[in-house]
Amino acid sequence: MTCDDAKPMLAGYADGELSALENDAIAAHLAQCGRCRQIIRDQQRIQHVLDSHQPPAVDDARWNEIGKRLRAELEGQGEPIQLKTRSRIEGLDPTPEAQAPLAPDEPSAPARPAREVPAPTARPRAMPAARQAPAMTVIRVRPRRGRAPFRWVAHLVGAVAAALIIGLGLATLWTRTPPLDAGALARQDDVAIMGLEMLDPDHNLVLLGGDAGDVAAIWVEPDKSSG
Amino acid sequence: MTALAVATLAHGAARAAMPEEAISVTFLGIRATKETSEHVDPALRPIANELRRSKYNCFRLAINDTRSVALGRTWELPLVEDYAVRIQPNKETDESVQLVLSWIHYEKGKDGKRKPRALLKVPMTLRKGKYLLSGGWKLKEGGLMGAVAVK
Repeated sequence: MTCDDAKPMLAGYADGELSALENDAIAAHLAQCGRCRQIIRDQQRIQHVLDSHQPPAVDDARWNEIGKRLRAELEGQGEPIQLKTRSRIEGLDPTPEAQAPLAPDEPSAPARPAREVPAPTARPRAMPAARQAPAMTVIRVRPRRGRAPFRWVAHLVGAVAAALIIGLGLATLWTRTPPLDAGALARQDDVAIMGLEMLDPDHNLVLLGGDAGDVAAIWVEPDKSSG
Repeated sequence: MTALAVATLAHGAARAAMPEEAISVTFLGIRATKETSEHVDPALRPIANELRRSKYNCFRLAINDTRSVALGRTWELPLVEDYAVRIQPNKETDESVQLVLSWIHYEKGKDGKRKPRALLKVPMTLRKGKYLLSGGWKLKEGGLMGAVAVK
């Protein structure tokens, strides 16, 4: 089974909704696939957060207040009720929709006689579980960091490479500096011209090399008569 | 007799296996111009007096290259504005090297292809470590010179 085959069934596996055969196949795949195991772990963590989240308890005084305001609204007085009891799961930033106050889905019901409205005190007392503080699970999402311990190695390698390149460049410049000195030029007794073939009609040849071991050079000059 | 033949063959094989004898050839390309104020590249200052014997007063080192060239082989070094030099060392003694220096200019032929035109060919024997100045070829601005040396 490949990851592409397994992915559509991972959610069902996490929820225990697969058949025994599918369950075994996914389990076998998970045994060898870390990526899918991570998906399952993430789903289970999210499921755990959702399961452990309970609505906050509302005390009797609050219910009484809501009841009064509800009655007043039904009698055409007061402002619409806005429920502000949504709790916030730490670590998950609320979306704009979540931040908006919860309003009843349906528009306000038509006014009815007050007697038809059950008294807030008639509401059974909240169950003990509802009075408990909601369980919170903090999901901390950390950005994945590369192999941080090896970052300095990359910096070191880069620095060494840069130093090598600079060093090689300097060495090349150093070795390529011509070993010229005043006596480096060939004098008459250092060179024997065995023949000269001047093949360019646009230049004239000028041989330099006078008496007393003067410097030898072969110059050409543009032939002015050729234009 | 057989031993002599074997020895001769072995000697021949050993010589064939040896790398070709190579000469270290250095060429300096110099761009010379005539300007209002004199300028000589620091690397060329030791030979500035000789360079000034030409009609120019500014000398800049344009090319500085050294190659190991096997005897009988030709090293072609492209220079500026389609100029090039060919250097062919042919024979070596303890003190000098026999070589042929050729100046080349590449020009477009009638068929549009780039073709080399020989300008000057100088067979010579040059003492090792000494530079022979040559050139003066016309550039768009100034002239092109060169100094060749062997080791």
